[in-house]
Amino acid sequence: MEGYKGYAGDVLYIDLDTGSIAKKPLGQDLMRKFLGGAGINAQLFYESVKAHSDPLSPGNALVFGAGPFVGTLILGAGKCCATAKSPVSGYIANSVTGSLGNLKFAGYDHLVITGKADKPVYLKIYNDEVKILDGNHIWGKDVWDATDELWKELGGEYTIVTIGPAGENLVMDANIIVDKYAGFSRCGLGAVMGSKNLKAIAVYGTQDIGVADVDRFSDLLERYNKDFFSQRLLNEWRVYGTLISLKPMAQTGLYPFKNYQEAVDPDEMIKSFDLESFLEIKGGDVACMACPIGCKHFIQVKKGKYAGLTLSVGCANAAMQTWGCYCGSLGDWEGVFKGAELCNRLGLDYYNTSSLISWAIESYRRGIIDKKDTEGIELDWGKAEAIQELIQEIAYRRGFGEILACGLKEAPKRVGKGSESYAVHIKGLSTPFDLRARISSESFSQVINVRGGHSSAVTVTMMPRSPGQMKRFAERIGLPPKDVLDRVLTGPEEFNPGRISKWFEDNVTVFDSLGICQFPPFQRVNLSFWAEIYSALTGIEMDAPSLLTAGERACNMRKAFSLREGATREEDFPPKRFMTEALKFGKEERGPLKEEYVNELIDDYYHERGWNMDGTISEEKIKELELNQYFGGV
Amino acid sequence: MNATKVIAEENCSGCLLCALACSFFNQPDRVFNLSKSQIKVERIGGQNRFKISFKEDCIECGTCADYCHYGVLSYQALD
Repeated sequence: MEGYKGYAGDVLYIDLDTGSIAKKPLGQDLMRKFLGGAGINAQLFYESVKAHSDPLSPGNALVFGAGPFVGTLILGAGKCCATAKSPVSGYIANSVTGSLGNLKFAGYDHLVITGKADKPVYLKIYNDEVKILDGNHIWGKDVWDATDELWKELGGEYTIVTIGPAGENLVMDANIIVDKYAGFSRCGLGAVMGSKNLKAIAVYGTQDIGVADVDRFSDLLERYNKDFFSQRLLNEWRVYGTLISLKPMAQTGLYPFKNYQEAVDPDEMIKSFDLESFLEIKGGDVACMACPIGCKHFIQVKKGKYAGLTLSVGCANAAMQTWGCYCGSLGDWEGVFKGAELCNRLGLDYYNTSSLISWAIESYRRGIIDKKDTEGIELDWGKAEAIQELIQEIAYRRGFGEILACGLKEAPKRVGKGSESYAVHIKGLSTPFDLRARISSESFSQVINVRGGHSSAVTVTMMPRSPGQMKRFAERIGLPPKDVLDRVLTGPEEFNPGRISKWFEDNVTVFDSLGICQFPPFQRVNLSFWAEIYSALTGIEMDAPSLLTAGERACNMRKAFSLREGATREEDFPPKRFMTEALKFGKEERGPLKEEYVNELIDDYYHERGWNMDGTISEEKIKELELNQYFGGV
Repeated sequence: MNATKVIAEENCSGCLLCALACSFFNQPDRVFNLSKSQIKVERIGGQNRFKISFKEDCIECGTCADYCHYGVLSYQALD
């Protein structure tokens, strides 16, 4: 591509209906307006999918994107994004993982897949050699076996993106797994891929990624590296990965227990999930592309009933939270990783699958369902074998799994008898954080996130901070901007959860668009630095406000899609359980959320976004973000 | 004279920073391209575990070792 560097320069379009394969240059206007990754994904997706398309129909588009930083030496720049219409929520899905950088080396920033193949296929992408190949020999295989088969056929240098039996069987919470462990986990993207009869994508390439101003880029890189390695806790991140948060999260009540009926008692949590025992089964570090931390783990279980189990795990905290806490199996590291292995092999989202199973256990214990419904499986908290059996039933839609495969919105409706009250989700997506334990930007943003119950505004509010810390953090990273600080960093905890969510949702979207990890060691970098290194890399001069506006534009583009599909303010609301039941947390009890307070926070968020109070985007905002051409009909 | 050595292959996380650095700092065209790197990081055993080797044009500059944060590579005096 002439002129601009950093980008591979092309978008690859594949239509599985017709078998057409086309390459188009990535427009410079898109680079400036949406940066790349999640941002350009949102725009390409919006233009490719007609309103009210069935998510599991050929009309849905599955879009992958690797931002301009991906494939370079910028530390933490490995994050790639997948986007589609989610069968879970009916709105836009967005999921990020760190191992698809080969897409850039094959010469593509984005890959747009539409249509449906008439028989199982897989895609082989090697530079300009793009083929839709027969996938019958891998259809039916689990993720690991299918990946092994393609590595054997094509070579281990290929990145293998595949679905498991869950995706093939259109299970609502099916995911997409890269290289056996890195998941595009949430929102049912695996079912979208399965609905296209697309089993896998194998990608490798030998193309250059250029740098516009080598000297400026190298100087900035040196400065970044020096600052980066002066941070505290990097070694702890390496050793424990996301389990670094175990103690503070436990003390804050952020481990929902037994289907969110309680938060795990903090002392019990810390004692039962002993980190020394974890280190006994940790066999090594696993990293996303270009990450010097390697917060992921290679697990080797050496003894007990799962002896011999080896797997790579992306987020150990998520595995522990779901298969340990949601399902009431405290302290069972081996059982936790057995659950994770099954999900990685079958291609299932940890969060929604464990949430469905914990809902089933609660319904069973309440007498709403019985052994007849579960076809002989006795359900109870902490019964790992029954839980593992149910995971498999879901993936293959067998027995009671046929109902659970319909997801958190539909399965409780099918069971009825009041069981709907115990299904904890927002727009069909289970919520990793319980808002009754703490209202932070991380927990509140689950409510307003267009894709459903997952944090979309990651920052440092998850745990209580010391006085003045939020302001110091804001000053360090240059966000929120100075002119809004007084109204955003206010209140007893020195932040307004509604207002701050807007700014960090935009920020996280910038990260997802450039390809940077959103974890704390990378978030501590000032936004103006990202703008400067973006300019040096690409040759497109940008400053911090322009980057942030691009993030805001992508957030509004995603919202525009939801509105086009008929989204209403009523769906931006916490689950019934959070609004009506108290949360038992150790010796304490935290009351249910107050409706008036929740609505106030939603108003604050909409106001900060410049939206109308019914959740629609104001005409002024559409004009300000120059989005008229994209969604005049909203 | 110094040389780049693999001192703890089992620590490799697969981050590829070594290969990215090699291609960027040692190619005349200053680009990122894993296939132009003189260090090879190959998957072994169908797992996210890796074997490291050097191609024949490696100039023993030690750049890859500078960018290895997992203690896999070392730039040290020849025995």
